Amino acid sequence: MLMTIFQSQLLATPLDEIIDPSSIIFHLIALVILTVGLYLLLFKPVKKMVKQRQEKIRKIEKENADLNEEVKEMKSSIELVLSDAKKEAAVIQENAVKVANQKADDIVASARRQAKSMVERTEQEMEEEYRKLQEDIEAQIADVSLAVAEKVLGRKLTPEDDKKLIEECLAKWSKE
Amino acid sequence: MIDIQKIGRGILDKLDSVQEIEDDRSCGRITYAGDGIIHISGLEDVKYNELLEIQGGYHALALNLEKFSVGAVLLSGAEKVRYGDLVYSTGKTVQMRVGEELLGRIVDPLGDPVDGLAAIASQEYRPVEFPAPSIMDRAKVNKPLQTGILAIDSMIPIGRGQRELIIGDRQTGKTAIAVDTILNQKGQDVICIYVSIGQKASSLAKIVNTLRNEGALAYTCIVSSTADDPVPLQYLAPYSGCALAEYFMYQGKDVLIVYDDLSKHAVAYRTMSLLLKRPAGREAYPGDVFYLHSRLLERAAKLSEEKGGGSITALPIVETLAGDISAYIPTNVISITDGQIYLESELFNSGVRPAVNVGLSVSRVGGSAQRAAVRQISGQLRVNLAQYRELAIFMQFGSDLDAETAKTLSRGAKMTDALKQRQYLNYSVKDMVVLLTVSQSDLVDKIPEKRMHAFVEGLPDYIRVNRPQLLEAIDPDKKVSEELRSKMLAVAAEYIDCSVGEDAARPLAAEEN
Amino acid sequence: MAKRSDSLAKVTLAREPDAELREKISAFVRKRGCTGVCYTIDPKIVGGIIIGIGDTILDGSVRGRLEHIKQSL
Repeated sequence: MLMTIFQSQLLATPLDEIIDPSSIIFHLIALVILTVGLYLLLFKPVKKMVKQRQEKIRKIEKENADLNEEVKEMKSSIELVLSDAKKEAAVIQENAVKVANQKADDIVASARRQAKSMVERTEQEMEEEYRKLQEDIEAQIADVSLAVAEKVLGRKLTPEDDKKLIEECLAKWSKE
Repeated sequence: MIDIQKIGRGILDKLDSVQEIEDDRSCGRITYAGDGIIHISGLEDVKYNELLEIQGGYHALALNLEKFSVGAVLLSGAEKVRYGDLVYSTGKTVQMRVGEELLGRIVDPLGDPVDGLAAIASQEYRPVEFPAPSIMDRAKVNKPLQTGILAIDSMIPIGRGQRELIIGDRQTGKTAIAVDTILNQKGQDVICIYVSIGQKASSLAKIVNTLRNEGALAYTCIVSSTADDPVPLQYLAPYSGCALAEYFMYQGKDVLIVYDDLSKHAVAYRTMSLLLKRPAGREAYPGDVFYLHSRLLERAAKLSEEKGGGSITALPIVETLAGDISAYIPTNVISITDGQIYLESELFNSGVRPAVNVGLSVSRVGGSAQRAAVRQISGQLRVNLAQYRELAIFMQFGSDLDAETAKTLSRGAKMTDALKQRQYLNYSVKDMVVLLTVSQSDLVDKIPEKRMHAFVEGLPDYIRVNRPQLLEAIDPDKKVSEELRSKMLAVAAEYIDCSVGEDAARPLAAEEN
Repeated sequence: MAKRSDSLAKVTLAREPDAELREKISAFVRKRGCTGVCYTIDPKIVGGIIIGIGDTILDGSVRGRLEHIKQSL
């Protein structure tokens, strides 16, 4: 636009007029006015617009960064929760294992106790069998010796002895 | 090997120790022998309940003293004695061998071992019939006897020195309760005596094995009279057991004695009485069948401190027919004892084990002996259960329930589940405090009904292994503070998370298979 | 112990007693309140004497003592 005005001015005026100092001044003034006008009318709003744009972009960028931050945070918190859960699972498992181990220990202990008591009992029974056998032998010996004693006494006991025995008995009973 | 010299020495020792024969003895002759009963002519100075000696070393018990004859029951040699045999009076009553040596042993009602082990060294004897402690010698029951069974310890508490009847039909777990109670006395400083009266030898063997395997035989003596023993021995068994219990009680120790069971004892006594031609009364029992049991159970007591403070806790067992607790022997024994645990076959068959009918079971003196913590928590239990049962019966016919009723019902069912308990799985007092607290809290709503039983069984183990500090914090003799309660609930919630999680995982695992 | 003045004492011996012994025995039983003596001879008792007065039996026989020892063993 500027060029067309300038060109039309060039075409409309003769050369001598162009080099007219007053016209030069006039031109210069016109140029200044034009420049100022243009600056005011065109450059400023554009600059303003650009500034606004820049501002907007910056805002969006900031938002982006915020979002990124948030995503990061979320990610880390998820990780935390996950690891917590894992830990908890481990604890639960550990507890269960502990309970199971305890039970197993109990069972083993009771089995051991049973085995021990069985051995003890068998030993006792053996001892008892042995003792019974001894007792049987004792009883047999006693029986035999008493039978022998009876026979011998029956033969050896003279009527005099018998009489003496009876008299002793009578004397003893009389005292009571 | 067999030491012949030792045998010889043994005989010589015995010969030396032979006592001078007593020539002058009162004696009579048998005029009738049959069915384990003998009639004797002569013996005019014999006393009631005197032990008689029969030619050949057998023994009899004089029970009927008449003008010209004496009726007696044979304790041994029923098929050996003959008409005309001489019978001597001994001037003694029947004696039971007593002493610490009897613990861990199985003996007959005269104190002779029947377990095939060594002879018992103890030479101390006590008469089987002995007067019960007088009123002044008795003290109040104030110490609990923990059965380890949640339903009983919470609602029907038993104290040391109490007589608590266990009554129910056959196969309802009467003996199981008694055996559980004996097992739970481990480390409690209680001596246990199990008297078997006319039981099957096989079931007795099972009980002995259980006790031995659990290490309970060390503090237990079993007085055994099986079904094939002579009737007089079955009759004597509870008195012998009681004599042994008294021996320990008068030393200041706590004793638990189980009479299993008194209905068979009454039957044995009826047999003897009928054979002795005593007049029969109701159900053909003789007139003194009440006295038979009252004089036995009166000997269970808690002694005062001056007398050493020992106690005999008696758990007599009576078997009913078709749940009839108004029969002769059950009513008798119920009226003598300080309460009863009533077991029902219906409950047993529907899976409630121990099949305790809470409504009909009572304990008249045990409440004062209950641990403070348990008493505090179980106070409402009985009422709640009764309400639940009432509601459950009422709601059997209704189909749609409002939310509140449904909740009450499900809580009641869970409470009933919590009281179920496997045999030989005894809870300690602390376990009980936790279980009672948890099962009466709101937490149970979180547990699925089917998992309740597993939860109750698993919780004590979980706490014992993983949270021992909680158990340490519980003092059964103090009331449970609000803080402790919330701690317990927190731990229980933790366990619910585990166990319910398990539940969720289980169907998945099943699908994989 | 019941004392029956008209009762007989049953005396068991191993062999026939002579007159002196008879006299001693009847003196003894009279002191115990018996009027007469009824003798039984039983070689099985080996030796000694058994006297039965009413319900009481006085056993002084060799066999009785042997039995006693046997039972104690």
